[in-house]
Amino acid sequence: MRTRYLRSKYLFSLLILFLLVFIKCSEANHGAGTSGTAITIPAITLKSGVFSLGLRTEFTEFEGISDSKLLEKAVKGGSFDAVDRTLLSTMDVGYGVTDDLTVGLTTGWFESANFRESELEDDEVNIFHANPDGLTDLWLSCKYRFMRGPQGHYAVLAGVKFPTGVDDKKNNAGEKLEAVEQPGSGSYDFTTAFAYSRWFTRDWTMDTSIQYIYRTEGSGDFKVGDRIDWSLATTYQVIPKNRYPNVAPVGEINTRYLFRDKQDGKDEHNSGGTIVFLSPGVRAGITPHLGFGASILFPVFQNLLGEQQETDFKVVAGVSYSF
Amino acid sequence: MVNRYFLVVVVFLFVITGCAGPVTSSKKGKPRVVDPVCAYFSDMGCVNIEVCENTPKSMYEGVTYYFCSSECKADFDKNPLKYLKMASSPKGARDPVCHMGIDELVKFVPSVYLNKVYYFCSDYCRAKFLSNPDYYMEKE
Repeated sequence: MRTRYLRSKYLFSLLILFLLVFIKCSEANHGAGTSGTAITIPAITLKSGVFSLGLRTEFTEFEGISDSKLLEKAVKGGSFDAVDRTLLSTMDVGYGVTDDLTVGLTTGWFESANFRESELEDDEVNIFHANPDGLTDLWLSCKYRFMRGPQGHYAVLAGVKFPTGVDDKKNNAGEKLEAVEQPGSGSYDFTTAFAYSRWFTRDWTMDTSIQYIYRTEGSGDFKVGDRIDWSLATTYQVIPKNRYPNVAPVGEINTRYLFRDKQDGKDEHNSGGTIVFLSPGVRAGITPHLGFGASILFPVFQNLLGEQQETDFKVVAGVSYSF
Repeated sequence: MVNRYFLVVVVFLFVITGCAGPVTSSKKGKPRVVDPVCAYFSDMGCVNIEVCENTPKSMYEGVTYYFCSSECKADFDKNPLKYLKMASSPKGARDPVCHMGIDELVKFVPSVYLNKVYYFCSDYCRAKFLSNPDYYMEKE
């Protein structure tokens, strides 16, 4: 397991090196700018020969669960996991192979605060602590824009996730955490998405996307549930985007449907559900090469199956640099 | 708690969509030209640009092209044909000044006036049109 962790660190170092080698100011990419949303995938691709580098942080605050409440929920549901908050920092690099085809790599680092799990065994409930921080898995994806024009841009996306992340974290009793609690799931996953972007006026844009993530069985014969995301975002460019610095408020709605997790082929009772987020945010173009975006995601509807911890809010912020 | 968040978000969305009205009448009269690079990428955010003294421009085979930014100009200068190939005119389009058939020409100058695209055989015709657009539009 130690070897696997070192291998992951090695891959991460190689990725950093790759980025450093290729950072050069060659070509601008102010291009068709409808991106900068929290979750919605825009149908816009990078210009041919352009690299983009993105750093993104997603902070999630969960509902407060005290130890006594945790025990209560474990008695009710058989087992229950709780965390105060999580921080997922990701880094992605994209490259425009042609004007309509972009390939990208994404990986990240996961951190959590006060992770606890409780389990009911032989009429006895115990609380275990763990520190599931570490490197996440690596996504390789490509986006192809098959149509563009005044009526809008249409693109499809496909991706595969490699199990390069840490998936051997243990609790204080020495038991391995389930794949869904690990920074890396230990599985090869696949995704496909459809995206559409258009301008209503010169300054008012709309993006929408639907994405399906298919997951395979990961570490410990555990399969994290598949996921469907449907998102709609609208942006109004207060300052035209070919002037710098410029700014645009962003409004977004995201519906996330989670399928149930499976352990040894059987459905996990306390998993799956539907969450709807409304997220106001802002996007700014600092220079033609440098952009910034931030959004707050408020869950306005949560229907989580079984006993699960609800989300209070999320904050997503990121910078992107193209060269 | 959730209701309060919901109210804030609804007000926010209302404000930004309220701002997103059509182009104001004060802007309607301003002549605009097409940035061939943004037109190639269907980037409607800056495809129609106002021309002023500082507008980036490039000359290619005797025709001046204007750009929304120096980045677009740099892209154009690297490979002008890539962007001009896309700027094909509609069949049957005629220069409103000299009445030359645009689809017979290898190169032409597109320009936007009052949300309509006009095609010209040269910068000369375009400038003549923009000096008195009402006159040429009436003649059409």
